[in-house]
Amino acid sequence: MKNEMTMVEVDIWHPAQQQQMFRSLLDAFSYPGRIQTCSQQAEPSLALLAALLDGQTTLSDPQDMLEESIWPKLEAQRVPSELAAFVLLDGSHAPEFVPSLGTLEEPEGGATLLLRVASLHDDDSAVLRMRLSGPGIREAVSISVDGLHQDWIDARNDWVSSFPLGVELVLCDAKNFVALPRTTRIEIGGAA
Amino acid sequence: MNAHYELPLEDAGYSFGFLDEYAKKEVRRCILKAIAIPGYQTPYASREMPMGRGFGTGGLQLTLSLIGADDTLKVIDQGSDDSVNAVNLRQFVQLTCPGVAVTEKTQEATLIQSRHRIPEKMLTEQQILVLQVPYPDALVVVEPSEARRKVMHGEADYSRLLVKLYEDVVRFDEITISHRYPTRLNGHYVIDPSPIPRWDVPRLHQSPALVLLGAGREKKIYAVPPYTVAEPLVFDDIAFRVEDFRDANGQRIACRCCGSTVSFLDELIDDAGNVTHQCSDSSYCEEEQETISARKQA
Ligand SMILES: [Zn+2]
Repeated sequence: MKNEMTMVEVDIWHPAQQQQMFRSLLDAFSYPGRIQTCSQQAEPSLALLAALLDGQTTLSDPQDMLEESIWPKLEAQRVPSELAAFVLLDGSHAPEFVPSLGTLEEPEGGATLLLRVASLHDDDSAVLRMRLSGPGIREAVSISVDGLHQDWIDARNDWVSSFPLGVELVLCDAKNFVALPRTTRIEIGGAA
Repeated sequence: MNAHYELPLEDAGYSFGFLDEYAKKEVRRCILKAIAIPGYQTPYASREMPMGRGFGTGGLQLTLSLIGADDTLKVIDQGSDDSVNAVNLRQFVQLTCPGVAVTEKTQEATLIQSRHRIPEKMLTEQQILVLQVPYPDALVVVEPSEARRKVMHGEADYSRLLVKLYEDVVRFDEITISHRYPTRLNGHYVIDPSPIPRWDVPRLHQSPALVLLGAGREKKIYAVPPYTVAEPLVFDDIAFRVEDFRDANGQRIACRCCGSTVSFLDELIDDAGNVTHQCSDSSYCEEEQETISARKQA
């Protein structure tokens, strides 16, 4: 994992590339369930962090997925996972903490969790199948994921159960990513 | 606005979009939360812009945080691409964002910044609409304290707003709000959709395009995500109605320029004192006229 994450980082620190990365992520948030392909020569999880973070925000990396040398470039403040605005996680391990969910008055305090998974599919071919509906989804869609512990989805469904509180998930494989904002209804089991 | 404004060059020599990269990142993070919480007024640290607040600085900060060299921008003010405000904003973006194309044609734009109107032409998934907002909070008419409004929004408690609307109904026999009609998103937050006419409100419902709203003075960003339920607040016995453009005989009034009977019309009074009507969306009107003249030639 560490080797992959530091392999090529070519341009992910350049503002023009970060703008492009942000627009892909904007599409991902606007149309949950649509799998986006990362245009950068880097892991999407790292390219997304580079595009979003600076010294004004907080990051947690409880499984030490990032090289130490990446931290100064991201500029983000390192805080415990329970408090972080962004948390980078290995999706194959079950959740071990409750992230920030925001408050009724300030729901934007809910965290964004970037979960590294093995692979994302826009069909039913992978192990964990999910049927998605809600804002941004015209007709319910199904995606499937390898390398995501199902407890993440169960826990997430619990964390988003009292809207407007909740968390945003961004699932990332080696090339692609997909966003699951708190408004997305996720049913495990795929196409019914 | 100062036309001789010089671009600030950052250390790396990279300069695009006027705002520094930290300001853009903050706005971008807010936009994502605004989409994830439809209708929630996400606070951000509005930056000083080289023009007064009230000239669309909230919308402009959104545009500058979104835009890239491969975008095509359209700027409209009350339906017109040619008004002073629209021209100034467009020129500012052209000056500070080298490589960005501009257009007046709705269907050519990837990014549309607008004040007071949603284009007549249906927007697509490939487009983002940015609306400039003077007053972001629909609850401000019933609750002066922002702290209390935030609680009311969080609880989706709009009972006092509904009472206020109902008083209007009792007095005038219909809902008289002409602009900024309170609209509920995804069954929770009620937004002020900016001073668009009632005509435009149904276009927010299940829109293929993302709609972002920016209030520079109040430092708030909120969103109507694509394919989201957007319902004007109504009562069981009084339906929501868009503006009625029928004459005394019940005939739908046509635009005097293009003849359209399906567009939102501005009322004009000519020198002789006669009332005439014309499409509010000038780009739509011009294209309709072009289509008609092309048909005549064929
Ligand atoms: Zn016309």
